[in-house]
Parts: sequence; structure tokens; C-alpha cells
Amino acid sequence: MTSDITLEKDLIICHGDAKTKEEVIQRLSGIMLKKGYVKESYVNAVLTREERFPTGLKTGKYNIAIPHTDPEHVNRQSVAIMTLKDEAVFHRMDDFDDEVGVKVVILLALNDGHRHLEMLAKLIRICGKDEFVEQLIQAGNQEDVLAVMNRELKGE
Amino acid sequence: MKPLVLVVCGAGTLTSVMASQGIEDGLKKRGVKGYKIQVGRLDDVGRFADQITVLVSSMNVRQKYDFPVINAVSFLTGDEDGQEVVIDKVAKILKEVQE
Repeated sequence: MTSDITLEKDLIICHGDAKTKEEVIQRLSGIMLKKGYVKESYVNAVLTREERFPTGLKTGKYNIAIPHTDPEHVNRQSVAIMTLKDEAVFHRMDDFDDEVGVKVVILLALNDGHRHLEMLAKLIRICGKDEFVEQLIQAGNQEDVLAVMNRELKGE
Repeated sequence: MKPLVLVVCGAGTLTSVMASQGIEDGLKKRGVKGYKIQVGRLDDVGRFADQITVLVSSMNVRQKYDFPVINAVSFLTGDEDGQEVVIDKVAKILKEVQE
């Protein structure tokens, strides 16, 4: 029996002032590394993969990105989230030549994508909804982001 | 041999699995049977090239292939109309090869 990935307050950065996708990925990976959830190789693996297989999703008014990489760089499955003060630019997953300005980044540390797939799929689906992302962006601190997330995850 | 629907993304662990589940459900609803659906990485495509009936990808595919390539990012962005279009296309291709 496996439990769902728990969203953690410590893995949330609210209204982050990161300007580039690299900065977002580096800051969120740094927290995961400090907690021992990912290996040192993780951050570069995500950055390299983002170059080859970008993860920006044009979902509506706000857009999201879901950077991730291969399981070998991960110790424990986890999810880190940054809501951004200003948009960070990601290339689009479905059109590498096009870019999207992203307001929410969900960094995924996956060691077995299939095991927690339902939860992750749900997370990605809810982040595609403008009303939800709006609440997320408006949330003033880590606790509020977490509460909005958990409410929506349970409610879907 | 059953026709093969290969669903790919970069790592083959997340977005392709999301898309393949949606496509499988959709094909079931349309009563399409007798095919094989498999998840993989974009880098695997070459290896399966001679078996693929239709390639579905959440990523942009630049290379040109002899089989049809369908984009399935709609399964990630929650675009339900887009998802139906993808399933319809896959269903049509499968029906054509099965006739």
C-alpha cells in the first residue's frame, strides 16, 4: 500500500521573485536537495531535460510548467511549487519553438511515475484551471498555498 | 499482429502515461478493440518504428515518419475538446488498418 505524495509547506515558495526558468528550477531543487529528497545531480538533470524536452503548458490565462527528470536522480518522490510574482518564460511542451509566460511552476521529483500517477495527474489537471490558479496566485503565504492545493486535490 | 499505438513523452513516466490512459478510456467508449497501446520515450520511437501504427506524443515531434503523428498535450492542459479530437483521430486510423 502506497500513500500519496504529501505536499509540504517547506517545498512551497509563494510569490517568488525568480526571473528565469533556470532560477525557478535552481531554487526549488535547492530546497529538495537540502531535505535529501533529490541527489546532487538532480538540478542539472532537470535543467538539461528542460532544454531538450520543455514542459511549459499553455493552459489558459496563466500557464504552468511541470519540470521533471529521470528517476535515478531522485531519493524520495516529492513536489515543489513556486508561484511567481512575474511570469517566467518556458518553452512549450507541444511546440518547442514557442514560449509561454508561466505564473506557477510545479517541480516534480519522480522515482516511479506510475505509482503516484493519479495524484500527479490530478495536480496537473487542477493547475490547468484558471479559477484555481488565480486562487493559488492570490494566496499570500505558504500555508494558504498549501490549503488551496489540498482543498482542490480533495475536491476534484 | 495488432496495430500499435505508441504514446511518448520525454521521460516516458508521466505525461505519456496521462495521455495513454485518456486515449485508452476514449477508445473503449468508442468500442475500438484489437489494438495494442504502449507508453515510451520519444527516444524509443526509432526502435519501434517498424511496428508503430500511430504515434501519439505530448511533446512536439520534429522528425518526419511514415506513420501518422498526433499531438496529445490536450490531456495535460485539460482541453476536453482537444482530447476528443485526438481520440477520434486515433480511432479512425485504427479502424482503417483493421478493415
